[in-house]
Parts: sequence; C-alpha cells; structure tokens
Amino acid sequence: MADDPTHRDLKDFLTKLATDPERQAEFAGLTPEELRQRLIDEGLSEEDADLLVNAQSGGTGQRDLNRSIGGDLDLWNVHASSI
Amino acid sequence: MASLQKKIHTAGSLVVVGTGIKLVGQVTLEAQAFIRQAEKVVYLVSNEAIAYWIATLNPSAESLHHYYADGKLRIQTYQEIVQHILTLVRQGVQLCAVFYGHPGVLVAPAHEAIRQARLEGYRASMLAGVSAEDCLFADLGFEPAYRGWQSFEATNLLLYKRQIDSSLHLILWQIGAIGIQYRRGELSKGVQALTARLVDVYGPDHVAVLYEASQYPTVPPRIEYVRLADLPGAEITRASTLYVPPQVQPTLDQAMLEYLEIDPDDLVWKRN
Repeated sequence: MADDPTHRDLKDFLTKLATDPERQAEFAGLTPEELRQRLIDEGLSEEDADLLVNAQSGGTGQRDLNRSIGGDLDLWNVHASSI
Repeated sequence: MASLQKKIHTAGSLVVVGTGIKLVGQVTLEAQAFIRQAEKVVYLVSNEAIAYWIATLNPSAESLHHYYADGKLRIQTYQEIVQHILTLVRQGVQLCAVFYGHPGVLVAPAHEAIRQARLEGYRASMLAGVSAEDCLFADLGFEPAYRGWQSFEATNLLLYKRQIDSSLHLILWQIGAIGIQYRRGELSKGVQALTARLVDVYGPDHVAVLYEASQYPTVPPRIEYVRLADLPGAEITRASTLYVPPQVQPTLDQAMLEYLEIDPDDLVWKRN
C-alpha cells in the first residue's frame, strides 16, 4: 500500500494538515467554494480538492475519500474477533 | 524458580502500536518513536494516507494487507499475520507491528502475536492507542462512567445472548460485520437479527446513533440518528458503531446511600 503513488499529493497534504490545528481552524472557516480554491492554490489537483471538500460536508464524503486514496473498509473486519 | 524462568532473547523483539482512528493526530509520541526506530515495521491500517505516513517514518514498512482475500476465513488471515510477525522476530528482528485504532481492542492477531512471542522468550509489548470508542465518547459528548456503559462486539452480543441493561449507555462494535466470517459477506441478516434484539429491549421508537469516527483532519465524524426499527434500512458500513442511549433511570440503593453517608443531592452522575 505504501508504495502506491495514487493521490500522493493528497496523502502528503493530509498527513501534514493532521498536526496543524491552526490551518485546520482556518479551513473550517471557509465556504466549500473558498476551500476548494484554496486547496487548488496550495497545489492539490481539482479531483483531490473535490474529494476533501466533499468529505468535509459529511454524508458519504469520508467514505469516498477513503476509497479514492486506497482505503479498504473491509479491513475493519480485523476487529471482529468473535468469529 | 530460576529453572522456570524463560531465557530472554537479546535479539528479536516485538512492540505493537496503534495509529488511532484519525490520521496521524492520534498516534502517540511514544508509538511514533517506536515506528521510527524499529529495525522493521509491519502494518495493517485502514487507509493509504496513514500507510504513506508510516513509510515516511520508516522505509522498511511492509503492509500485511495481502493476507486478506475474498473467500478466505478471517481466522486463517489472523493466523498468517501472527506467523509473519513471529517469523521476523525469530530471525532476530526488532519489529514494530502497527494496527489502526487501539492495537489491543478487537485486534486478535496483535494479542496472539505478543502471547506467542513471550512464550518463546522474546520481549514483546503493546502500547495503548485511541479506539473508535474513545472517539465516540468525545464526539457524542457524554460521560460514560456516570451512568456506566456496556460495550459489545455486535456478533458477540447476539451469539451469547448478552443481557442488555437499558439504564446504561450501550455501544455495539462492528454492526457492519455481524456474522461475517469472510472478507466480504451478506450484511442484512445480521442487522435484522440485531434490530429484533434491540427492539425487544427498547421498543421500536428508541433513537440510537450510527457513528463513524473521523479518519481525516477537518472531516467531521458521521453522527446519524436512527429509530431502532429503521436500522435495517439505514446505511451501515464496516466502520459503523451503534450507540444506544439509556432509556430508563437506574435505581438507587437507599440502604447503601445511608451506609456510605451520601446525600443523594450530591451525586454528580444522577443528572446523566
């Protein structure tokens, strides 16, 4: 998984954003359109910007983001230890 | 006494750490240091962003994901993961195994690998991490200890006919994997069985919460209110946890209050 170059910019962006509460707060204050433009200005592709903006809107957005960057929710099965 | 003590190998070792649920931010500093300094890292995480981050910390990082396969029993996958870990430790590797969430909560291979490594005389330990339940307490905003809470893996609840106390908070893990032994499987039967069980205790109109912790910064958790009777029609995923709030007030033991000389008006948790 780690060598998969798909959406590498987005992965790098997210891992840095994760430990930057100031930027997180800044992004939270933007409208979806402003955020999308800001993400593009910071170097993300339009596709990646849309993924993150949609994820922030709730609903299935997080799942779409997860799938797009290689998330495998079947891995949650690792937790199901009863059977 | 000394003859009973196992020889501690000086070479191979195992430390198991967790990444938490939310990307990077829930990894403890201690876990991060172990990942960085390990001779070798293996991991099983839920998305590629965290895999990418682990690889930036330690280029030796290797995914265990390939042990999963359609039509393969999960227990077989677990055994293979344990054997992979132990093979490395036996080779003298100082290994760090990384799992998402809390590595000791509903992660059977992590415990088994540590148990077997210790049996063979290797140093093996686990570091605590952040579980989905920890995130739930924060996101749903209740103090579990005031009322007390029950926490079951959903299949376990059904298989063992666990007793539900409707005066407590109830947390059900893995409602998106009830009865599923393989990587993929039919979900609806399990959800219907769970719904029947819960409706029997709480009635159809009691409102629960479908919860999925946030996995990414700035992305909100999924918090969706649902009547218990409507659960089969709700969108349930592998990441879904069900929270059922208390329905009835617990009964105070007046004799114990008097014995402990507690004024019931002073009880902090009576309001929760």
